[in-house]
Amino acid sequence: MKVSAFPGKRAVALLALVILALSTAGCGAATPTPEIGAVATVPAGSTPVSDWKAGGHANSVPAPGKRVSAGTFTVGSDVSYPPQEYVGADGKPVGMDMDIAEEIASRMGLQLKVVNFKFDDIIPALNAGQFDAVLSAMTVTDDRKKVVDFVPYFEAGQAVLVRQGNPKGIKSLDDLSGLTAAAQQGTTEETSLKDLNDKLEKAGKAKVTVLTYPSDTDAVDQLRVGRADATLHDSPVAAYYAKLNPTFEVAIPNFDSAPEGIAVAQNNKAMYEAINSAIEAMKQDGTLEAIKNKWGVK
Amino acid sequence: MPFDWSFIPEHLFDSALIEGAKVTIFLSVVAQLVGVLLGLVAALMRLSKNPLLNWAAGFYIWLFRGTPLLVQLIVFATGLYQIGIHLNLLTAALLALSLNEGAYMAEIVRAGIQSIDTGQSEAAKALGMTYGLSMRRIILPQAAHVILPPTGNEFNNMLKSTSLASVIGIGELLQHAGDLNHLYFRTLETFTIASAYYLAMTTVVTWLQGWMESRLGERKADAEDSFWGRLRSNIFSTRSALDHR
Repeated sequence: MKVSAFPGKRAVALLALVILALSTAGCGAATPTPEIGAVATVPAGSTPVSDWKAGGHANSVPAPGKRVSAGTFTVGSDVSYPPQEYVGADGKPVGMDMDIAEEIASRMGLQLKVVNFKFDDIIPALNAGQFDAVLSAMTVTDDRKKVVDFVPYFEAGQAVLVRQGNPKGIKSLDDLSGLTAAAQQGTTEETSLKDLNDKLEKAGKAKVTVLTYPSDTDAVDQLRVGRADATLHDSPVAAYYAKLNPTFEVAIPNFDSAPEGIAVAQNNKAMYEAINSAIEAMKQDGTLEAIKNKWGVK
Repeated sequence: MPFDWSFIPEHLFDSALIEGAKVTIFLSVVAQLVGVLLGLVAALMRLSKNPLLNWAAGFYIWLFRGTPLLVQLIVFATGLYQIGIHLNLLTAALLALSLNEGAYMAEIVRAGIQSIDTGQSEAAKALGMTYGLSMRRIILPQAAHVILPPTGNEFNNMLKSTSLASVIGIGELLQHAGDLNHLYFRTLETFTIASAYYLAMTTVVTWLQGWMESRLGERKADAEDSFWGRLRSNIFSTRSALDHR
């Protein structure tokens, strides 16, 4: 499958034209370019285009009283998952999820504060009261639903990333048999690999050597240097890696599609309601779509 | 969320944790043994009069004591892979842990050897002993008293340092505890269990160290006994000699 950065090409082209007109008219404001460490720069022709700007709908949702700290909307996120959340060139967290968090905060009339937290421990930390919510490309699963509430905001599958040219010829998950695959610890991708190994074992095939790492970018390093033959990520993340770094390509673009959600502690219903109504409003007025477009995410 | 006590007995012996503990023990024991040998060699090199050997050992100790173990692990596991040195993960972890340990052990062994009075090696030389023989028979057995306690300390540290290998993808105790944590979302309970595993392992090491020290101590006491005995008889003989006079 060709990984297309822009779903609504015509709308985006129109928007690009408007922005081009505006900027040539002497506006001069540079569009922020998402960067991923040293890999930097988005390929030409895919500069993020969006009319989205936080603050357009200030105070449209009442801020829930029970919060980690007054005046802020405190969000926990494992900021190592581009384009959904990663550390930008200025050292600040950026990405689609961060923009969504920013938008929610502004609608509540609050300042956004992002706490960079290891994904593996992020749910217990949320329940221990360290954040108001978690926006971290978190797939909604039954296990997780037992301990937190989710406001779904996005649909994503999983994808398999390989080195350019797909040297091991991976076309399906079963092709990973006997190979080495890496994933981030505590993710649905890790679970997928474990399930795959159970399946391969039953079929009498060689298992996948699974390597797990504290952050997703560590897993990608193993693919880059060649220790791993493949890595598993959420589909937009794999597509983003492939787009940014031509030494990677997506071998299996999308499987096990599932909603991603904003996680809220189960004892904070007011927070859940507020985020839910903010997301609903963002769906209605097109803000959510605009943010997704900005990051080239479907 | 209150602490769930029932979680502890339910998951204390989960097979993943047992597997992880086995890897932790394997890494610790092998890396410590190799580390002690490396340390011994490096210490002898450091004390040698050959400037090349001396410099090489000094450089090794400087490099591995001066950089974080975590950095060394990443360099051996992922960094070297990039330039075509394809160590498997376990080898990379063992190399980093052993080399790091060797640098610390070198300083401990050197301090042990230097704590022995130079008269000992001079006497050995006077008796016609070679360097190697006097090291084996005279210097190192005495230096062992000084070397053993900090070595036990190092091994205790090693058991815990292996947890850093979770970062390079080694499925040791900490990584498996992490798996359990994200499966049940019980952080305090899970890491209470992991702590119990580490405590059990370090306690055994402490016992072992105590036992070895007491065995060395007995021999030392024996030696002192005979020393005091000799001294006493010397005094006695001196006195009798005086009496005689």
